Amino acid sequence: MTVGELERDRRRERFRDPGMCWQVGPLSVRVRTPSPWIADQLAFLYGPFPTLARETIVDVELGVEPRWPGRFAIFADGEVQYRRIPRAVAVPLVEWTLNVSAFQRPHQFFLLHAAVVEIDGFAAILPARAGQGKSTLCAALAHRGWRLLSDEVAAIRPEDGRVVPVPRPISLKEGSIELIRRFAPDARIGPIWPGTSKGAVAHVLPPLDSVRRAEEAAVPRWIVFPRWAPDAVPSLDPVPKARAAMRCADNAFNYSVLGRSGFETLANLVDRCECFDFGYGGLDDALHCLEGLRRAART
Amino acid sequence: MIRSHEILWRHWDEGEYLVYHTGSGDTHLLNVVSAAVLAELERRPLGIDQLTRRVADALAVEPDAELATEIRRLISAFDDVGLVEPAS
Repeated sequence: MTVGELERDRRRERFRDPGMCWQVGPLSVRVRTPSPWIADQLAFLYGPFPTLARETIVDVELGVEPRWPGRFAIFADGEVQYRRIPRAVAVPLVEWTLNVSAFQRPHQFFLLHAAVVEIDGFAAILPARAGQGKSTLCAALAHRGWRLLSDEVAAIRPEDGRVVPVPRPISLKEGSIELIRRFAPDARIGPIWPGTSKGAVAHVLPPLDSVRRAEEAAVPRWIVFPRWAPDAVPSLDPVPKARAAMRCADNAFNYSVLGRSGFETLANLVDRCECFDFGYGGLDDALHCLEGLRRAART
Repeated sequence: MIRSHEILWRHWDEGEYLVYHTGSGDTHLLNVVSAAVLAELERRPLGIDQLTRRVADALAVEPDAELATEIRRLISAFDDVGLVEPAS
């Protein structure tokens, strides 16, 4: 049973009490809310994800409670995160809280702030800070034959170095929303939420294939540091592995927590990957360039 | 005499070294010279003169005053981040 397969009233009831539980890759999530509107918005974003039994002990537990007039409070593990936020930013902030909560705990993984896509069994890891075009590129790749593993985090298993999918909705900002709408007309994009601290935000649903294959880990093959600039000519410049490792460590959520195991996982990751700086301006050029990596890997 | 703390190494033949200092949990990027200095101190505690000779051998350069100055600078930088300490 998936979140979207539940009949609407039963689903709203489940969200109200004891909370809707679902699985996102290795993470289990529960959201409790008496708001039918929030329940419906989350059901849209997480429709294809498998539900879990109501008594499941989950990794991430959120509460979203209405506050008069037309505002919401968001809780994570019972702690208030936002006291009174307007309806217009409630959904992006629920997603954001889920993001933050999700990546504070699962220290069985090396967690790198990066988008991850896979093709032919090989993962391309795209570590980047905000504004480098990571999510836009990731959304484009996910709708042109690459499997979405994650828009936000490369969850790497120290035991075998594989990347475990966490295929949550992709958060797009401002001009990227229209760009992806034009680039991938088949992309399912939710409502635009104006007025967040990042400007207008919309969420691209992960392609169904990505959700269905959420238990299929992939072998990292490339680390690509994207850098978007208007009118940039696409370029792939090799990055020495030691430097790539330092940059990945800077982008990791829990490198310092993992200690020696984090270092070993990081060093093994760069050891098995080709590492590049990737400058790009247009999405078509970018995809063509990355397809070149794929072709080279096949030969 | 100076000695190093426990460190983990990775190297990919690209002229740079990645080291992990188990004491602090910090990771450092080293060039060939600084890696040679740390590698010698990891083998055994050494004074500056011995260290300069050994590093010069490892890098196939002259153990001159310029190298000794550079090694003193590196030792000071390593000391600042806790990679080395005085050995009694």
